[in-house]
Amino acid sequence: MSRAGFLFNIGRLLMIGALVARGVLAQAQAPAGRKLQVVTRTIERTLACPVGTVVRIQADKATVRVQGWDQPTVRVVLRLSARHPDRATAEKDLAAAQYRIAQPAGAVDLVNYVALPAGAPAPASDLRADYTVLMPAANALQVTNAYGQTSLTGLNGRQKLTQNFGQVTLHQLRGTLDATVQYADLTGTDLQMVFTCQAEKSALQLKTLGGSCAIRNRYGSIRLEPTDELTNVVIDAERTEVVVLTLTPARFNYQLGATHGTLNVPVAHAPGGGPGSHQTSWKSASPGRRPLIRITTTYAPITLQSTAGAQLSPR
Amino acid sequence: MNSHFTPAAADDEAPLRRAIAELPSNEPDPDDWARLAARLVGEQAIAQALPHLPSHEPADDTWAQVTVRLDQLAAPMPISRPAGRHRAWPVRLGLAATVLLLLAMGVGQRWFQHPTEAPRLVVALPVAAPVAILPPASAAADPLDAQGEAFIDAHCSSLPVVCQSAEFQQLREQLTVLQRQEQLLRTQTQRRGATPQLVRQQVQTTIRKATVTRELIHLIIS
Repeated sequence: MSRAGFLFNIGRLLMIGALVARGVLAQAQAPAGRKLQVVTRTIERTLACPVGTVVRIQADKATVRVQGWDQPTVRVVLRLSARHPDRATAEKDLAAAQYRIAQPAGAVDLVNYVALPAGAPAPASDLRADYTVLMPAANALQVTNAYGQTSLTGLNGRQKLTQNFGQVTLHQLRGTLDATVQYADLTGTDLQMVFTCQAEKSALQLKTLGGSCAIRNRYGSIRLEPTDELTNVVIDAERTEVVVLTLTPARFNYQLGATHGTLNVPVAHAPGGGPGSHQTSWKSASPGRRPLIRITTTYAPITLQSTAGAQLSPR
Repeated sequence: MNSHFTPAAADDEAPLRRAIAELPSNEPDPDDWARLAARLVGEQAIAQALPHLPSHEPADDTWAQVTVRLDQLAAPMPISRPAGRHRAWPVRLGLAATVLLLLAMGVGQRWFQHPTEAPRLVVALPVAAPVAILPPASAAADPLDAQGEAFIDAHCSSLPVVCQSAEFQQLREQLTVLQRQEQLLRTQTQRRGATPQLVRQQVQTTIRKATVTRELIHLIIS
């Protein structure tokens, strides 16, 4: 947790840096009156979260950071903000940024939304929410977010994530995660879990990937860097480029198929010999039981790369 | 051609030159191109017009009325007909109408294709690839696609600083170009069928467009 906290702090520093840089740019480019004004409201709560309680976050245009800890409680810091060049407008619009923190039986609900009086025009400001949530690592979690950043760290329960637009960062996860993303950039590191992902028009990048994973993606890209702890991969992609990068290609068995696409498998890296230059499907013929990497895609290439030199491969 | 070949020539290349010169010249009649173009335009016009042809679905009660009229006509006849025949007449009429309509369409098409009795051109036109592998319609009309664009444009009023940045404007321009490209590819696919090359181009454009959309939204929300 301290390491993750350190990462958060680095991230925050970078963000502050970016904001400062943007502010400087703003002053250089725009007249003084057009500088972005930000007004915020902060809510802090600590809620009981016994075993079996599911934490449900329904976020909109939000930055959501969820991190597991060893306390039987959920700690929430929610910051609502309105951004507009005119401060009075931003202040007026902030009232429309609403939230709900509730504890129905067996659940903790965290919600942000925009509430407008009947007939009122849509707020001119950019309304955003920023959640920092600490929760028991083994409890179930459900997150929905759109047009925002979501990061899940140090969790090992049943997790579910739905996100349209924005970035998703997964780190040090165990247990299960069922993700549905569209127009998202999803990056995962140190995943040792059962990971299921249904994606569309998204870029998925999974480093130090162990456990088992099943991924679908259309009109996007997939890049996997499996570790020796990987047990099984099934990628059922459409019109999506897939790259597998591993230090030890020979540890796995492969079934690759790229309809109307190409296979880039260096023979030296492929156990049992790689596919021919015009082959669009290939099954590695290496003896013994090894974890299977099964990938199909269409109209795009599949590439298998070794991070080690070819001399390390068994051939 | 070989009969004109004279091995007596001193220069090695001379017989070849002569042979080439004596080859029958196959320059098509200059009018042929105009005719060919007119024919292609005609075919295109038909292909475009076909989906817009009015459909001639008769009113729901037409058959009932026809039956009634036939019954009226048949009423004075002294001989009573078996019940089954009441139905057979409208069906026959319908069949006759269909045949007439099909004939008319066929004649119309032939008439369109041959506005004047042009001499038959022996030109093999490339056959369009089968349209069996059309890209899924969802690629053309993704509701999230429009939603993302609306989000990008709506935030330029509240975040002018972001939208005025060179990076943002460059990406926004790229998005417009990619949208146009996608539209163009869609039209070509409709016209020529979904050849693997066209689909691959379309896939690359759509992937690029999704990437630019994600980058623009990233600029707005970070």
